[in-house]
Amino acid sequence: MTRSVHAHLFDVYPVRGGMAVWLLADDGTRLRLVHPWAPRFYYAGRRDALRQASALLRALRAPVTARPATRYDLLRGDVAVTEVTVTNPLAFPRVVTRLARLDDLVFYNCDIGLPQMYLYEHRLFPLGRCAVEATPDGMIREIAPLDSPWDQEYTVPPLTVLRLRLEGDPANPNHGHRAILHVAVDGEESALTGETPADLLASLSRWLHRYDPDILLTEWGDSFLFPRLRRLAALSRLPLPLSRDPQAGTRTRRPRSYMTYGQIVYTAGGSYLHGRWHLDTTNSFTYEEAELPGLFELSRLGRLPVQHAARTSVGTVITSMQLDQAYQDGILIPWRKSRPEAFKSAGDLLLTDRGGLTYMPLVGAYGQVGELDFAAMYPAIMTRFNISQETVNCPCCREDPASRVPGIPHHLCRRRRGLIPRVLARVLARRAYYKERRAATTGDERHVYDMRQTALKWIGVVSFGYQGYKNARFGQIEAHECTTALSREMLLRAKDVAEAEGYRMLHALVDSVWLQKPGATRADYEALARMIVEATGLPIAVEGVYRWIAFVPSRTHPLVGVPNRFFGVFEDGTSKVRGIELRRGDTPPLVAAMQSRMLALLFQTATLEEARAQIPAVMDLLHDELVRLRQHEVRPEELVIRTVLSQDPREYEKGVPQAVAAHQLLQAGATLHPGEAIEYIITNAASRIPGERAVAYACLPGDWSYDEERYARMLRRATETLLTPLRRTAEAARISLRPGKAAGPEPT
Amino acid sequence: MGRTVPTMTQIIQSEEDGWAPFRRALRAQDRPALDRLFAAARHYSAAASYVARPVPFDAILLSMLLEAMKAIQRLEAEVDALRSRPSV
Repeated sequence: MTRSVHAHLFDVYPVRGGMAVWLLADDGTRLRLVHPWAPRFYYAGRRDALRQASALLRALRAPVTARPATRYDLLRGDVAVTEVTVTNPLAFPRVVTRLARLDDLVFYNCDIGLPQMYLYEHRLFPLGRCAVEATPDGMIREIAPLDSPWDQEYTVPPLTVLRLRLEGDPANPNHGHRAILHVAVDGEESALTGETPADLLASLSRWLHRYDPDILLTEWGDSFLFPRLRRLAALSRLPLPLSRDPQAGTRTRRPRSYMTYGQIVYTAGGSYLHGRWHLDTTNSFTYEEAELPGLFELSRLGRLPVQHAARTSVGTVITSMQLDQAYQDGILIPWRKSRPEAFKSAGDLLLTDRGGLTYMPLVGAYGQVGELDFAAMYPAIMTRFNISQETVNCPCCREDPASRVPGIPHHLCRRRRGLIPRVLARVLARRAYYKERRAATTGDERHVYDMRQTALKWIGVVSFGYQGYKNARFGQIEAHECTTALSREMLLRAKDVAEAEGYRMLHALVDSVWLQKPGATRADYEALARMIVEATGLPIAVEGVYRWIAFVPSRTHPLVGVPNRFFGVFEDGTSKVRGIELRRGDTPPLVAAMQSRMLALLFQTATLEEARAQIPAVMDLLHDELVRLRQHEVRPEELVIRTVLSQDPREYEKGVPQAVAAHQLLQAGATLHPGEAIEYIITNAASRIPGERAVAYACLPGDWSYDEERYARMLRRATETLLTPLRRTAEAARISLRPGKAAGPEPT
Repeated sequence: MGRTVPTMTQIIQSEEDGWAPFRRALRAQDRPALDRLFAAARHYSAAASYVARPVPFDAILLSMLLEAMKAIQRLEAEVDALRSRPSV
């Protein structure tokens, strides 16, 4: 006797003898079933290594079976392998670890997360529809998907969300911020107060029982709330039913700091629940960017459990999509990628290792400027030119001149479609669809489409960088180089077309160009974009026509511009601001707010001349702020500087403000990690005693003071940033390296 | 992501650092001109990076010459304009 259920898949995780599978059944019930399942991995090697391996497997006394098989390796074709089946998924990591100690073996499919492997194999995915046959005691006989994660339209079943956070300002509680625990479901909310920890835990448990939420959505749950709650529960010996699965508690992962794109990033450890999702909005890049709809989108496409997708990098999602594609194609997934870069001559290295083209803008302010952007340039190039690990320098197209990549000694396959272009083409098409739907809808519906396309945008952005990254399974530095070489070629083609049409290129940055021609209108720029599409085969669109735009000079080299520092206002009144103080995370709100008021004044104007006429009004704003500063009318939160720790705080050179503040936090009992942000106020930067130079915002004493001179200087600099390019006269701006004559008073 | 080859901006900075003793020995009134030459090198760094010469200082020198030639052209144009003005 079995029963059939139609449901949405909620979560999967390994248990003894199979996978626990949580379902949101169509009748509204939440079901926990178990699917007996045995994960498999493969290895290959010389005969003596294989003999050693099978001896070891026998000695392990783990529930495994091994048999010879033939499988496909992306680069080597069909290979003879041994297939190992582990009948208890919980034993899988142990078996792999033991075998991996043997030398001379090549392993496949051994370091994929078990939930992912299960989902790939059964074509299932989180929140996907499925049909299940189960026995009365909750064992799954059969489970089959009813839809595909690539379906563009899908609905998410209603989920109960319980929100948990500390009341008030969402400052990092690990740095000393303390407040009352606040809980909310469906508009009903309450502050959890209790005389004793036991009262607090009891009332939280009551909320969990009453609402049985699917999602616990917290602020600082991973790094603060859950660890504290668990400790309270342990101390008071009370149950804390955070997980829905009564047989499983919480799983934790340690926090880590890692380096990416030259920046140190900190991720708090995770508290994963079973049968219920814990999502920490302060510990999820995807949630911050694209909220629940974006998170669900990535979870579905990557076939990654939602709690994992929330805490992982977009790179992991892309990898998972590629692994899934490989799984479906029957391609083995290599472990410890053993494919180093092929040797290059020094000359080739110079030619290939260059990244996108980065011009220095012509410093100054200009009217009637058009900005043209290539849409998702790198993914578009990878798709259009078929860039993938196995298509770069393929043996079959070596003699075909049409396969060469301009400017570098690589060529791309013209016969076989690559693995990565196949994945990316689907993502690009999907994003285009969601953008179309976003334009055609309103309200909540529009928001869902917008969040989904935002999540996909990040896949495009990251997919390129990932090809050059050592941890990418199907990446390779040569593929990365082909992409950047083609991007340079296409940007130069765009420049050639524009200059032939009489435009002057004020600036160009990887995939965007800023152009000017007297009298050019939006229609002219649109026509130019069509000519560039013709010349490059890549989509390029008019981002907008600026009434005026200003390119800001470098602070260290005032005669030269900076690639990504400018501000301007489009014809429709919207503005674009990049790289100036306002946009920087470490600018105190006082300075950012003043600069933003100044820009509001400047952006009201219709022409560059009118903007220049606003200079005295801008100076008045600076004056007002300086007076407020001198008369101590500023509030502490306006002065807070937020800096990301780039190293362990104890290793900082003593005396720099962030080190002083970090030291105070450590003394107050906080734990700090590289990549984490700390907040402080500068009290007396010139003091001989380092401890007097700054104070951590979380430790602000009642009799606090601030460094007037230092903050006044920041205000003046922020004003300079805006006025310097505006003051350049037309004549000076024409000549790139001649300092302009002042057209207004210098800031006082 | 580590880079095997430094960026053109980094190369120009290290060239400028390498010429620091030269700059130090110059008279104060000569230094701004040298600084402008290095500013020129920075300004054309996209082109210098694109050409990817084995000896990057070649591209740096050419960038400096380019800016100097542009100054000459500008001055020539101004002289021509002044000459063609009817004398009083």
